[in-house]
Parts: sequence; C-alpha cells; structure tokens
Amino acid sequence: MQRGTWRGSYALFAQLALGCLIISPLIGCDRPRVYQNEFLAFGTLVEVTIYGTDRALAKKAFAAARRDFASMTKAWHAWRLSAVTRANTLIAAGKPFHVGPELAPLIRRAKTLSARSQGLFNPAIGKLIGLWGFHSNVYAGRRPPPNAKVKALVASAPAMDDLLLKEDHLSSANSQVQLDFGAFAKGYGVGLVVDHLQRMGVKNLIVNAGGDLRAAGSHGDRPWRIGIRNPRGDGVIAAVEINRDESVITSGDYERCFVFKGKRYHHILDPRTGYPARGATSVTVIGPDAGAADAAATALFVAGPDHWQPIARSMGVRDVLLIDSHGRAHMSPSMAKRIQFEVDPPPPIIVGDQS
Amino acid sequence: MTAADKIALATSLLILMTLYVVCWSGSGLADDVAITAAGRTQIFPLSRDRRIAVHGRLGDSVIEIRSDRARFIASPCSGKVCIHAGWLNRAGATTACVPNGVIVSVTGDDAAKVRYDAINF
Repeated sequence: MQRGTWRGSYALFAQLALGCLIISPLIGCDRPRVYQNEFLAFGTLVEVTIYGTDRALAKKAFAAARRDFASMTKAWHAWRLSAVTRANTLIAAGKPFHVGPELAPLIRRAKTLSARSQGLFNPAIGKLIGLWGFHSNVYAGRRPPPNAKVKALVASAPAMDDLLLKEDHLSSANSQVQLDFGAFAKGYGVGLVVDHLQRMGVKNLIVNAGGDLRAAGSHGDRPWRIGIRNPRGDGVIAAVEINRDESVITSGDYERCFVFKGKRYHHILDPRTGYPARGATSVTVIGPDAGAADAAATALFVAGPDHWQPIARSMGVRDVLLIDSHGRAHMSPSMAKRIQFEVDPPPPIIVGDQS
Repeated sequence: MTAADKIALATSLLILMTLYVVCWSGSGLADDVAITAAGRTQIFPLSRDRRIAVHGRLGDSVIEIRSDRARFIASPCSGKVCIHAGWLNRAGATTACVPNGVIVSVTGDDAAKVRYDAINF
C-alpha cells in the first residue's frame, strides 16, 4: 500500500515537473521583451523602443528608422545643402520654382500650423535664426548679434503667409523668407517614422528624438511611462502615462543656447521681437499629432506664461505644461489630471482654463 | 494526501517558483555601460569605478562610472545638456553629448522594472 502511494507520488511529481518544463519556455522564458536602439539624427539623440515583437522584426524596424531619419535630416537640414537650403536660395532669388514631394507636404502643414499659432510658430525666420548663430552646432564664445540687424530682420516680417504653394510650384511674396523647420521637422519626422514602423507590423513602440516623442501601444500590460526633463537641474520633473497613440513634445531653453555676460540666449526666438522668448523655460504638449504638437510647443513657449492659453485654444491643444522662469508649473486642467510630479517638493502649480 | 504527495507537490511548486523568478522578473538592474563615439562602441562593467575619456568630434568627453552608475562629468560642448542629464543607473537609460557625437547607454537585464520608458528632454 505504502509502496503504491510512493509510486503514485512519483507519477504526480513527474507529471508536474514535465508540465513546468513544457510550459515555462512558452509562458515564461520566451516572454516579450523590450528592444532599444539609439543613434544621432536631426542634431539630437534618437531612441527607438519596441516591445512585443520578435528580434528579427525589431532589427528591421531599427534599420528602417535609421534610414528614414537619415534621409529626413538630409532633406530638411536648415544650413547644410538640402532641399530646404535649395528652396531658400530660390526664394531669395525671387523666382517661382518646383518643390518635390520631400518638401511640399512639410511646407503645406507648416503654413496651416503657423496661421493657427497666430504667427508665433514661424518657420520663415531662418535668417534671424542664422543671425543668432543657431545655424551651427557650436555655441561656445557666441554673443548676441547687433540690435540694428535683429530689428531690420524683424521689420522685413517674413511669414509663412508670404509663401504660395500651388500644386507643386512655390513662390514667395517676400524675398526675406528663409525656411528653417527646426521647430517642426523633428516632431513631424517622428510621426512619419512611427507610421512607417506601424505599417511594418510594430504595434508597441516609442520613437524619441530628443524632446519629441510619439508612443503607441503599451509595454505589455502597463502603459508607457514618459519622464519630462527638469528644465533647471538634473533628472526628471514629472511623468505621464501614455494610454493610446500620442505624442509628447517638449521645447526647452536648455537645448541650444549660449550664455553671454551671465544671461542665457536660447534658440526659441520670438518672431515679433527677434530675441529669445522670455518667461518660459520649457513647454510640454501632449497630442495626437506629433508635428502639430511640436509646432504648438514652440508657439506656446513664445507666447509665455501669461498668454499661452488663447494660442493653445486656437491650435486645438488640450494637454499643456509650461514651466516658467520662476519654476512655477502652468497647466491645462486635462494635463493637471494626468501628470505626476517627480520632484519633492513639487513646483507651485497654476491650473488654467481648459482649451 | 500522504507525506510523499506533499513532498512531490512542494518540490514542484519550488521548481515553478524558481522558473517564475528566473524567467519573468527582470531585475531592471544595470550591468554594463556602452559608450559610442565616432562610430565605435566600447563596453565597460558598471561594477568597477573608473573615469573614461573618449574622443568625439569636438574633443574628449569624460564619463564617470561609480557605484553601479554612469554619468558625463566633462564634455567640450557649450550646453552641457549631457552633464545635466545626471546619473544613469537603470538598464535602458541613455544620454548623449550630441555636439561631440558621444552616446552613453546603460545595458543590462530586460529593463522590466524601469521607472520611465523614455525621457522627453
């Protein structure tokens, strides 16, 4: 009897152990994992994060993302020979010309967004950006340009409205227009790359180009969790969870800047004054369209802590966080509901009206 | 249930728990740091404290490894965004000195318990 029981136990043990051995590779050791790839493009660090695919598809997706970013950086570069610099040469010459498919959709979209931002997002001020020395990767030893030159460029009032794009022919009513898509191309490009990777079959991913990212799907059974950099000091100031296909775009005065006589001069220029916009240190916008959110982050940064709300309304932006130069966090009510501050104590919070 | 059944069950459960821990719970702990400059990647263990100078487009960036963490402590850029990024101490954490073309990335277990999946900087 006793021997029989032991035999039964051996059988039970063997069955359980076998079951574990068979099931474990299926449910455990072959669990979905995160693949990550980093490279430099658009003058920034690009990170592509993929969850839940096999290694082969992740590798293909990384290669596709690298190719897409390389070709977009080449086409839209603001100061190295590109489709944009070629267009700028022809605009300055005052001649209508044909624009190719690599540029026409970008111009069309930027014109619409510039109008909705009431001109605060203005990719036509390339000359001004060049005058400030931001058409370079090296800012050491920089100083502000002469005020008279800044004022002259502001008076020439280059705007996206000056451009007429009829079918694929572009003409400009103002020869001072010089295109610089630095405030838009990264977000727009991130959106295109995510579209591409989704078409390849990647469902759960984040494409993060510096302060511009789009996330889709999830990290398995939890949402993607995104940290927002602290504009002053190290690390992360706040975190948000992304539950659907959304873009998180941050524009900050720490990205490209120089210090002259103790004062910080950054690359987000106010088209109305010709000088770096004052009042904000960073603006984060969350929205469904990466290009539109990128343009909005710049426009709201320029608008500043006192005037960002009407611009957010006219651009159709709901989730906004603006950190002002005193360290206060201005937010839309919908952003206040979803954001979690990661600094102790949290910054003083000012919640505005919903746009 | 006999004592033998109990032993068999307990042993089976132990195997199952071990498999669960081994297979499912990525520790998120960082193991190595990968430093890429001028298209070349070098891997260093995070377990050994040291300072590493790598040559980039503008000059030398210095990366410090200390107490299982890594950070930029010097770089010939003007913005010093890389230095302000602070310590990288979890698998998957990455920062770069873009002007100097240097990428520092912490590698390790599957980053299952990371605090952030991406940082908007």
